[in-house]
Amino acid sequence: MTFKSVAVTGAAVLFTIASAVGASAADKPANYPTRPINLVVPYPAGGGVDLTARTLAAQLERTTGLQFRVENRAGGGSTIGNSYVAKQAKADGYTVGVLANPTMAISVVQGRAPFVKGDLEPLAGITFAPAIWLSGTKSKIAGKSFKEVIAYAKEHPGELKVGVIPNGAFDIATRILEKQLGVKFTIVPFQGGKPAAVALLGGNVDIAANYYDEVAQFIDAGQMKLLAVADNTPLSQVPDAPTMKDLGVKIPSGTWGADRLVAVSPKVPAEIKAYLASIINDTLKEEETREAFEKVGIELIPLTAEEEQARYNASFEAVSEYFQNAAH
Amino acid sequence: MLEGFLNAITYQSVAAEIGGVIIGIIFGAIPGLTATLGIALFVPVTFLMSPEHGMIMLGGIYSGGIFGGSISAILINIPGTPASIVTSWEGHAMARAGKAPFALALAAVSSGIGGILAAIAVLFLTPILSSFALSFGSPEYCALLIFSFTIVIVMLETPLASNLFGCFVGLLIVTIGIDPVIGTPRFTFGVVELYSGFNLVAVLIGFFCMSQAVVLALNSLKPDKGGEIIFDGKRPYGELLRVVPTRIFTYLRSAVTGVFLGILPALGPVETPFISYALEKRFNKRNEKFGKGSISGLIASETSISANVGGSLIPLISLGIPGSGAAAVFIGALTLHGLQPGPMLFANQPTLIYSFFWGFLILNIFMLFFGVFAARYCAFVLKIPKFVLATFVAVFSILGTFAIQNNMFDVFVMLGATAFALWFQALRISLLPVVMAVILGPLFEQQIAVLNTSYSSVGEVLQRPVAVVFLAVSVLMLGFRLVRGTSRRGMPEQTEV
Repeated sequence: MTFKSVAVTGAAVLFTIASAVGASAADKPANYPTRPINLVVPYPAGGGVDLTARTLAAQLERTTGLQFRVENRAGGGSTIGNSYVAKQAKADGYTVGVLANPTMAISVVQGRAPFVKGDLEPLAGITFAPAIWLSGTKSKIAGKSFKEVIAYAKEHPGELKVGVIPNGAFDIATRILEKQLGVKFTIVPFQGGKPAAVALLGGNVDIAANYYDEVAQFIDAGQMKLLAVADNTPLSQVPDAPTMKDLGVKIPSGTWGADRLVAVSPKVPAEIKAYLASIINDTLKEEETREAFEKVGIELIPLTAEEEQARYNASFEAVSEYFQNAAH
Repeated sequence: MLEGFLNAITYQSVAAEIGGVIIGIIFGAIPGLTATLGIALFVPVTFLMSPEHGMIMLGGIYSGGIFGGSISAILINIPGTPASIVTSWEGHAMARAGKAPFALALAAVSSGIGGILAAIAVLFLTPILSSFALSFGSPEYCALLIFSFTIVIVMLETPLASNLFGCFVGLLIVTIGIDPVIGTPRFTFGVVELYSGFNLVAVLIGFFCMSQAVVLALNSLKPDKGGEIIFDGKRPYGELLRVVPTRIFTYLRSAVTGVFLGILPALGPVETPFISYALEKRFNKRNEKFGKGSISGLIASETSISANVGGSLIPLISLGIPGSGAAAVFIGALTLHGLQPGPMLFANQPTLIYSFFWGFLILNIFMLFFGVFAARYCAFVLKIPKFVLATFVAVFSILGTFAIQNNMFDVFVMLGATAFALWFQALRISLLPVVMAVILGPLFEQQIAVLNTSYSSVGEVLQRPVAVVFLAVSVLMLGFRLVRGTSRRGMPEQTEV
């Protein structure tokens, strides 16, 4: 072996190592983090997104040994926290948002938020819960299947009351359903899923939209009946509940529900973004993490940064399309 | 149920009960810091405990915090938490008459009795009461809220027109923000922070804590007229034993009002004492001077708050529905323990739930005794010079307001509310109708929105008997006040003739 060939081999090895280093995003950037990382939640403590963030923080501390703090910046229907992460906070990697779509996308598309779609960059998807429709036992449609409910609604336009949160996923999904199936409901606005669920239990509305986790107990106790899922993938907990695909309703997948994601400002230095994405994705893949989320009633459906970016884009697209159509 | 009782008297449970109550009293007594904040801060601590002890401790912080608010309300006329606003009227008047120890002890006893009566209702009537709560639809809510507005407008001695004006101003203030029907921002002028409206707690801290700090500071500039509050040195026990048994009906009325409003998810400890106090004023047969240190008034306020806290456990545990901000944090804590509040929790974990309910009863007994024997030592506060106290209250008002949502905007809202309160005071317009409208306005609008979309005619609404009763009573009360008001004005002319 000549000296030259040794040198070439050596250079090749070095190059390989160097490129491997470049590829492995999990490398800890120098001087980061030197203090606790804040997970910003745009909702008050105690809600679903808060619960997601707190569980994630605990699991990240377990896997990395770093410190994570949950910071609630509530108000403005999540706009305050969202815009804080997108624009106001320093893009130094110490402010990471645990956010929720399509609520955020709706506020941006409707021009109620002081930032645009590109001001946030998703790092990971944590979970997606589709909206579901439920009927109550005190309603005149109690016990009917979804198709029977639609048949009833066609015969009695405007008679069935559906409880939704105005301008949210529940509301929009219900209106898409009305349009595509040619039925007319009376849509009753509630300030949250819980008040609508109470109205359903008390017989003050006939149908309510909600998330499975929030009402699972009432379904198990026989006080509510799951009618249909506002997505194309069956619910893992109730696989035989009809999906929109089963019912022939055209609806984009993974949009009309609760998409909880981790995002930062795109101005955060690239190596810090890559590092954060890799530790979050690695943590979310672990069995112990899945169990921890299950314990608080959240089904973990992790997505990588690229996958979540795609869902993020799709969500914004679907929301813009809906409001464009609604305007006509 | 017996097992639950035994669980609630183990030494760990007793430690959780006492510890929770004391932590709560400290948080509650400091103006600006609320019971909700106390619970939120101590949620992580409960992860080190078993779920029932954690829940009992949080219950103790909640109850203790609500009572603690009355200590500063009575001593310095600054409600420590928004729930103690009504207590400050009667309690502080008593303290000015030299009866601060008695007022503190009476508040503690009333708070304890309200909590105990509520705990009994929770232990034995939860299934019935939770199904009653569910039957409350938008017509009932609207009628109940109209009733609440009416009773406050009618109760005050200030002119009817000025009360109505205050109510109107309050309702106007709460129209700021995103409307609850189609989501249009109203009066927000592009300010994102205004989208969810003014934060209620920030407004109340401005109305009652910060503005009072300003008043205290101004008073401290005046030459000292000698200590305003003098202790007679007497221990309050004799008077307490004499007074409490004679007020059984006041206790029952207030406890029933408190539990009733508690089981309705939308009405929490802030709203309750106003309604209970106004009812007491209406139905009390004694010739007491309300607003000048009335015993029944103080009892009505304190008992109903505590009963409300207890009553709110019913929808919280059995339906998973929070009745107040503190209760919402509570649900979050339970969920983090892997317990989902709701009908299945009752079916699957009855021992845990009954341990908590019994624990809640026992911690109220501790609170009662603590209040009777120890609260009078809090009177050291009165020895603090006024300017120090004013500074302290101002600092905590700002810190506490900031801590609600880690948001500086809320602090500015609080300062704006302070200015507003001082302005209304100068105009001699009662702030109370404004407060009621600000507290209940958003709920009223939401319920009207629901009513409007889900009922097509007035006739349909009139088929709901509970709603009709509330509306009828409101109309009668208003009519009564109008008639009485005119006859009173007419009196001097008659005597002249």
